[in-house]
Amino acid sequence: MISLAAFLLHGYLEETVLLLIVLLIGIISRFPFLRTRAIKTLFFTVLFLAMIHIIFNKQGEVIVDLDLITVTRFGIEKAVFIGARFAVIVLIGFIFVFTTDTNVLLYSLMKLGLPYRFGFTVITSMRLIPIFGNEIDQIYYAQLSKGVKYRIFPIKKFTGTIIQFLRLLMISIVKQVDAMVISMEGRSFGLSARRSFSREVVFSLTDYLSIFVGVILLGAIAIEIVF
Amino acid sequence: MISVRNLSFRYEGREHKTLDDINLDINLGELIVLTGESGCGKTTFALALTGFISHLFAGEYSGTVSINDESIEKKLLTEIAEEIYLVQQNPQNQFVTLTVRDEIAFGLENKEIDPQQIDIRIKEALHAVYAEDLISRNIDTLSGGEKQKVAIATAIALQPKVIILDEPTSNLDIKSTKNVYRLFKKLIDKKEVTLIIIEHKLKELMNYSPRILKLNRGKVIPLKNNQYLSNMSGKTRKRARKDYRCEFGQEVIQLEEFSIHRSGNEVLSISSLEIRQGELVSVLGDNGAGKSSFILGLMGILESAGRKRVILNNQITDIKHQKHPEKFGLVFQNPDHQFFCDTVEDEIIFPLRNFFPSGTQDPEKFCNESAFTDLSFELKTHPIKLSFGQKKRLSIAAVLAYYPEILLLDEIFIGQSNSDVIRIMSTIDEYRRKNNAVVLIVNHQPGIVHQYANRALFFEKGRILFDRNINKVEESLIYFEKTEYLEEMHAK
Repeated sequence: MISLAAFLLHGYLEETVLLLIVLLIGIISRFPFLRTRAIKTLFFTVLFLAMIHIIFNKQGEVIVDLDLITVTRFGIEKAVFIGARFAVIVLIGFIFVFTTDTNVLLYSLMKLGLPYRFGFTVITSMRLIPIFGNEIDQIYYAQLSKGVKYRIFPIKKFTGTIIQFLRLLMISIVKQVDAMVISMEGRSFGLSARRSFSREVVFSLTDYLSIFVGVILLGAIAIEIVF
Repeated sequence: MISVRNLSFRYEGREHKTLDDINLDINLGELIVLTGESGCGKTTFALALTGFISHLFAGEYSGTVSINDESIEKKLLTEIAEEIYLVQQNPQNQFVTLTVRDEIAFGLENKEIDPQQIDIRIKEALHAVYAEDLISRNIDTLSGGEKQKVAIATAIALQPKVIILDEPTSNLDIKSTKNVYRLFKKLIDKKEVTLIIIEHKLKELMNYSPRILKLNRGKVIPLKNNQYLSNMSGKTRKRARKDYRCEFGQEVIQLEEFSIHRSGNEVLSISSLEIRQGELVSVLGDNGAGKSSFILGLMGILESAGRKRVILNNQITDIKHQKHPEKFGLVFQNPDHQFFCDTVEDEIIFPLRNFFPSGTQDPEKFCNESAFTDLSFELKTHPIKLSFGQKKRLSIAAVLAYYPEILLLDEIFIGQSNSDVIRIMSTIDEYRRKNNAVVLIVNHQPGIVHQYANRALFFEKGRILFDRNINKVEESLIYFEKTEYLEEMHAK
């Protein structure tokens, strides 16, 4: 809803207020702003986007006029607007990932009607991530121990080394998927179009409160746009 | 209950039949132990009993497998799964969800069992494997033994009439292996389920009077219990054990304040360690004790802190990150990760060519002169087509072919029969004696390895718990109450 709101709003002041709301949500949900490395990248990207608008937007009342650069009021407003919108969308994404257990989300969506084959496609993919990490380590270690060197030149040798690595990784992936297929088929996966779900996902007061605030926010924006 | 009639199967692209005209009847409540050399087709037989071979694998299939007089070839895999369940060799590979609870519930949910009933079954299954406390854990945080418990709990919760366990202890340390046998006892005592256990370590299972079947060249041969035991005795040998400090050459590896960190955590810390030329060191410890990190750190693949010196040919080298890999021969537990060439002969000389571009080695001559004679008949074969035991021997042969001075062998005996372990150990010991090499073997088979080793290092929680002459290892195991290792040492 916040992301939707970020696209519906068209004023720099409204967008700034929305950014403040997102920051407040982050603080309430104890999002580690200072310990998240990507925040630094986000900050510089926002700064870069803002600078482009400040430097290249020549419309509106001129505030500073140097020989090479002209800064206008509209340029500054546009810089704040674009910077805040970008920050809102990225930050709310970070907070979503930080506060949401993907596994719980997927089970909830499947319970709500998402076809379970889609749900388990994502769950099994997530299951494979650490396994592949381990496989990649093992193959790389085996290459190092057999005197394989990762040097870019000569290119032909480098390409051969990469192909060696990928070929083994592919074999390993196929074997892993085979084992998973046996495991899933062996437990009647796909027996019928439906399946039961034993995992209970309970809504807390905070969840209801968040939905309420979100609906109010979106309603207010809709009213402002219509009238 | 299970009836196998004239079952034969040949994998596509292979000359010989993996299963050859097998006839067998298995009754409800029976305990069957299926054994045989590595790569003889035990897993294929398990996959055939569960219907996967006839439904999913390409090849020539003939004969029938019937459960309660119903042929599985005509049933859907999901229907066969109601009757029989296979716990695969590596539990890590068969988990499809992210938490223990979801994993055990997975099969029950597929069968649309009522959620309340699922909760009851999950609790009962975890109780049966003494693992109630694991219910909320993420799969990735479990140890090897805990993963095996969850895999078995998954089978129990499904309540099939037959459970097949494919080498359930092959990836486990000695302590976890004992725990798994405790679970088997509980299942066997109940006599509600037919258990088919594919296993190399038979001594413990002998206590439950199983029906032992041996798979050999595609045929199932019944063995008597005493027949198995007599086969095993006499294959081990005694050797004179002397104090390693007197017998061996100069110090080759010296470590001081040596430590390894992974993801910010200290996984290994050794205050001081020296290993001499010609030593064969058995490296013991539970899963996660730091043994593999120790091996990778010595090799220089994992970055380490502290002082690490390797002295060879009177030259002292402070080995930094991956500076002298040619001095070391590292063999990992999974051979599939180590094959980079299209033929066995290329694979044997692959590291040699990398380390010494002008070096030569005749693969055929090398195989015939060492204990890898069987590989000399497969020189043009793709490594992936070899049997598991041959793959293991190839991974060792490829290392020995460039004559490294320090051999680092990381759990190379997984999935190997006792006779394979003895065969590999003899080869390694011969290489050590001929080349005065240092050999470090991470293993869970002290009963066999200690016939050859002169010294044992026992790791616990990233530290060396004890470092003893092989004659004094028993004392230390008693002192530190590692009785399960003691029992394994005495296993023949």
